Amino acid sequence: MGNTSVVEAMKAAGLYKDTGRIEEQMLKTILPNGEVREHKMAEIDYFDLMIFADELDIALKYENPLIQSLFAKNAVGIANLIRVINVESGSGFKDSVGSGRQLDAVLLRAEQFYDPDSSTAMRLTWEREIDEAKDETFFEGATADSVLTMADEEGIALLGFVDFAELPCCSAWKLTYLSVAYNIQILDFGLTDYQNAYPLRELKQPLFQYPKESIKGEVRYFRAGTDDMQPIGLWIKMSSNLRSLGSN
Amino acid sequence: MAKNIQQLLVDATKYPAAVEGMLPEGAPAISATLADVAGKIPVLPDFIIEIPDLPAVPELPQLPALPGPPAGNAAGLPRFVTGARVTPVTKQVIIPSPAVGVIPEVITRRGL
Repeated sequence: MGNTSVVEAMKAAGLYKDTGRIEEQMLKTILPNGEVREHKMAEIDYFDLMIFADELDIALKYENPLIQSLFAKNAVGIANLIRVINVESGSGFKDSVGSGRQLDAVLLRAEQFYDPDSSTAMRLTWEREIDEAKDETFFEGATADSVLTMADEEGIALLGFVDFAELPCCSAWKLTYLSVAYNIQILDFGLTDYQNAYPLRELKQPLFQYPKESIKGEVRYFRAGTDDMQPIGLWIKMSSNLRSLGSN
Repeated sequence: MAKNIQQLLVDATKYPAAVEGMLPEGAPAISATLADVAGKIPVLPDFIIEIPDLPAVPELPQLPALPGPPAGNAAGLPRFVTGARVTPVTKQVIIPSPAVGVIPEVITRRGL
């Protein structure tokens, strides 16, 4: 399972300090196929990253250790995402006490996403009635089958999925990121961690969706039933967009 | 013999042309203007009688030699300007934007 602490992961990366300021840097993500993506990361107070680590560990304190380790493993990547978003928001990361353009991070929940079964409406729950075996969109934009695009001052870290359905219906996931379709990943929850009965599937490559970028997620439902697959990750937003209980 | 006003004007261009030939290059050419006017005035009826040619251009005295162009560039223009006050401009310090130049890189192999 490894490290389950975001704070420890940030300390190991030299990013957990209460004074000083980390300079502007260019994040180069080198994919296994040699493709290189570049995102500019704004300068930020080390203290802001310290707040992020402290509060995320608190938010996850009573979570399953598998989830904790997933966030700890990707803590530096999420910190990088925060700094990329801060290029546009420009007011740092103040977490739960932020205001205005200061950033905060919230765990993913159903009401943040569009309902793929009802265009323009938001999801109310992760539960989804599946009437037959079929391919369906899971993440989409405001209209049916459209892409979900980030605004200038927000981003998503998607790390994996859990499925608490009594009879999981989902068997595979396909991501389209920046109009490029990636290989499917099998999400056979029936084979996951049978000892602890915790149906978690980690994405082989975490998705960091930076500002202005688009994604579309599709899944394969291999049988009828009530599915309950939900994503594990964070949505980084400006505090001004985090004051609605019903949708933020 | 001039039959009309146009011919008379053209004939008359010989007087300024004689003076212009003694002026330095670039002096105003009245003869050219006069010939141009002769070609552009409305066509008028001929004179009722033909007018004899205008008298020949009298011999003009030699003009004194003109001074040469002032020392300067190839066009003879001086290399200086008078009547202007020049004051040094305060040196401007250009501050590059953060995006200019090499930004330190962070390499990662996690994520898409």
